[in-house]
Amino acid sequence: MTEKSPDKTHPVGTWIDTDTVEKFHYYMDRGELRYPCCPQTGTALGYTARQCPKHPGEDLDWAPASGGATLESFVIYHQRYSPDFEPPYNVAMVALDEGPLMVATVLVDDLAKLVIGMKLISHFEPAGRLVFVPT
Amino acid sequence: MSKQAIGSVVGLGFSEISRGPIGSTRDAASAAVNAALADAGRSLSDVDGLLLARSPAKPSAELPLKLQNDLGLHNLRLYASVEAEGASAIQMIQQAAMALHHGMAEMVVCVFADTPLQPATATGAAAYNRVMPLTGIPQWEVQYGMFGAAGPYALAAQRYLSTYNAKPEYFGEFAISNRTWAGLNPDAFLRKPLTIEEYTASRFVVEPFHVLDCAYPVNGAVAIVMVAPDRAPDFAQPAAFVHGMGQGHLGQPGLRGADRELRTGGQLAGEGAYKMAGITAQDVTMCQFYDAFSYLGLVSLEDYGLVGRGEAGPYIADGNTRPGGALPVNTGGGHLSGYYLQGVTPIAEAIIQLRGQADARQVPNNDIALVTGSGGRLDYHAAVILSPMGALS
Repeated sequence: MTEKSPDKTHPVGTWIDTDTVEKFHYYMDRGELRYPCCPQTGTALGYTARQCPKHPGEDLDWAPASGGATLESFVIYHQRYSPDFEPPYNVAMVALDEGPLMVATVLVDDLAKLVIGMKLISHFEPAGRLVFVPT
Repeated sequence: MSKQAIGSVVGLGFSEISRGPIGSTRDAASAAVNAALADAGRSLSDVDGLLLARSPAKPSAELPLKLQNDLGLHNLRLYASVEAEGASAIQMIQQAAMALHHGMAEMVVCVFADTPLQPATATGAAAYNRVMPLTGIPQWEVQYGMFGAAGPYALAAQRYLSTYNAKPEYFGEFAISNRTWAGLNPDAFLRKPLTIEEYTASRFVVEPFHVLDCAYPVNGAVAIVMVAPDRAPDFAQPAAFVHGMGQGHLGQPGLRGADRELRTGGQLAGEGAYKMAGITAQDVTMCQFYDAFSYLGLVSLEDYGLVGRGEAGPYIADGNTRPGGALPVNTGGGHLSGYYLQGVTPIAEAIIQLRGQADARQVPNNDIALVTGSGGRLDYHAAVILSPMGALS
């Protein structure tokens, strides 16, 4: 894994959210993929969660992810929406082995190799972006 | 014992609807309100309730609460902007019906207005080039280029194809069904007959979606006038009676197995609406679905219990939803071929059908209409059951 540059604290832009998300970025900035979990039981929660519904009012814990994942779905962008992204490119929904879902991209030399259910492993690009590669 | 209606729609009005400039969203809203009141044969002085809805892609200033002053409405007893994204239009009807039922207001006007197509945003891709959050980390998706709404919906559609081993042509069959209806609707924007070969040959936007899987944006506004059901006979237009109302918002747990792409809150919304109306899915004689993308047509048929899980594609391909089919769906062409005004398109079409004013596309049985709204990425759902009958036996 590659460390992000110290000044790059967020993937992009400005946004407003709860303090919970700051912790996610704290770890990501150090090249660690973590996922939210219940502080009482360690049960995995989704990245959409800001508290454990069974133990409300407590800060979430952030557990290290193994990096293993499964391709839940993918799409191929043909429409150009941004000069930063040259079509065709894939956008994927992946499920970490621990359960949480996240949008990402899968590094493949041929988009035809993408199959729902394929096994993946996480990887940090030099610039700090999290991607997934087939295992 | 027969079931009495909760509310009734007695006026329907449109602003100019166009791919070109029509002025501000705010002025379009006023034009639609005026047109709806004229259709109802009433004036602004009769209105004591107003509900607004706008596109989630637009700021609140686009259609502000100041609209009251634009219109000169100074004695409102009910007034709000409804914020449930694509479910807002149906929720306006629901809120109005509840207020009317309890006597909180006597005449409520609901209006949706949007002007997404401007010189700098002249296409759907440009007009809706924003990030729909799916992961739960703000702006996370930007680094992967997941812009626009087509991508998030296409992720759901792809998972549907894989789960049910369904053919991507089924999405095209829904687009063709809508287009066939649009051919009978002089107010629809895309009326040229469409074949599956033409669909398949059309360009991909975000695979598996072709451009013909996407809603057709326009600038415009639609307003309706609602009163309590016992007042409906006083109006010139035949009433559309509200019998059932439901919502379903399942949230996104963000965990594998939640399958929010395949089973949406539409199911919960449908169950609530059917129960309130005292009917079942089998009683529905036509559907007006919120179809921002073709996939919503398929998943709506399944969520609302009209076909089994994974069965929507063959059901549509067999012609059931087309003119002459067993269950007419999106009879004006829907958002795909009619015009995309985020949830008021299906409402307007339902009212026209319930009045018996749909001419060449009039359905043979307009007894029970299911009309839906869907917002977010399959997140927020609302449904109403409408009928030309004031009481359902």
